[in-house]
Amino acid sequence: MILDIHIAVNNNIKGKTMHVNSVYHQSDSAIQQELDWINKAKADPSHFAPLYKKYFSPIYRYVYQRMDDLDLANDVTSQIFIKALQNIHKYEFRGVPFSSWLYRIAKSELNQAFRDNLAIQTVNIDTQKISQFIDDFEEDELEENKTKLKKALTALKPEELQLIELRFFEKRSFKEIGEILEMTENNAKVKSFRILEKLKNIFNSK
Amino acid sequence: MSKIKFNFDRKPLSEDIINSKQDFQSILNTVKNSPKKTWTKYYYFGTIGLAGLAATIGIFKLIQNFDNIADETNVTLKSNEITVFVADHLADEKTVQLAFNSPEELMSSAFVTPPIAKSKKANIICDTKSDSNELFVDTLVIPIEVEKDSKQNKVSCKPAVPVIAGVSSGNIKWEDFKSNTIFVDNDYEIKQFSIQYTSKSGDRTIVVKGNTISPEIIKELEQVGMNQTIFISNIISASHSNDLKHLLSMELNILFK
Repeated sequence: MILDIHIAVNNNIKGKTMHVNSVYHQSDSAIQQELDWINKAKADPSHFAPLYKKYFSPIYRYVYQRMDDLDLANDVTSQIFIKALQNIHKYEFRGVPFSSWLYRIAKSELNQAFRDNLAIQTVNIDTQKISQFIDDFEEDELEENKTKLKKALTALKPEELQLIELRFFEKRSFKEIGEILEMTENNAKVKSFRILEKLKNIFNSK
Repeated sequence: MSKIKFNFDRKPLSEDIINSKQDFQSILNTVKNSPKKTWTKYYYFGTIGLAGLAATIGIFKLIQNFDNIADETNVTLKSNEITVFVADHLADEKTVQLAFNSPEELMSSAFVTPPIAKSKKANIICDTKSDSNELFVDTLVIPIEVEKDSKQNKVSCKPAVPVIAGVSSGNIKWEDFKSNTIFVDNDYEIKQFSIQYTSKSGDRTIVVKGNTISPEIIKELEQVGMNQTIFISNIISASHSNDLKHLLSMELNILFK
């Protein structure tokens, strides 16, 4: 509870609230419909089309958020859906949207692209939103603060940076983050808080 | 961390641009045309299946050749000797040492070289002078009363399976394990056994007289309090007429929860 309040205060400093990803949080009927599509796609790959159409945009944005090349993002996104379709027979419903499984494939494909040096890992930051979670990020000292923030983000471990991106740059819920990173919702919450504190300490240190 | 590029305030992509990138047909064609992995092809399974079947039959036949437990091995003894039964698969050196007092007896015994031939005689000398009621692991001095007129005692090689709460090997609940004795059948009573387990101070092998796991051992196992596998071996049982039987070992997985 205390953690929630702390993070909520940071996010509401300028009266802005955290919007959750509506594609992730779906109704039971929407999830059921997804299941129908998945079962049909297992029998006939051409029935994967509705799922492709539904998730192409969020997956593409997820990929492009992490790289700087539009064409490369397109290639990686295509590869993600190819992998998903090739392995759809292995998919098992676990009470969460299909997107969680897609995001995991996306994470894996991105890491592979970075390892193969096909793409440079990129962190895209909206400076207007930074002050929502870093109090001392003053816009009148923007250039200096940008440098400080770059250094602070570079000092984080890859999995820590990933969490910061998902929570504070992409505004995903803890539940969604938990599913993507394969941890519990509570764990995602606690880790976000700790990593944010670490980031702020590094940012504020001389 | 590997090289990272930072972009501040990059212009976000419009939904129209993203939608223009969609091409499901291309995805479908790629999936349909992707080469099938070798292990998913029918002839792979056919070949592997046949090879596996041949290997299984071969191993089965091999095991059958080594399996002499069910055969009758009669050990005929002279006067002032005891009848000792040892199953072939237990005929290792340690087992033999339990039954003999000298290396010569060991080498001439029927139990050294498996498979054991039928009706082979064995000289097993027992120390009848000892008035001790104790049983010792290393020499197995067993004070028994021996009938003066020799009598051939023939014992069939039917393997005897000791149990604790009905379990001879495998999983056993802690509550069943600690409150029970080792039982064979109504004709035999366990005289001695070795128990091997892990205590807080390390692995232990204890020789126990009688047929009950001693309270000290129970306490040590309880102190560890974690599931573990224990071994009960060198189990010696005696009939009402003091015929000794060396029983099959037990491998028990104690489950605390």
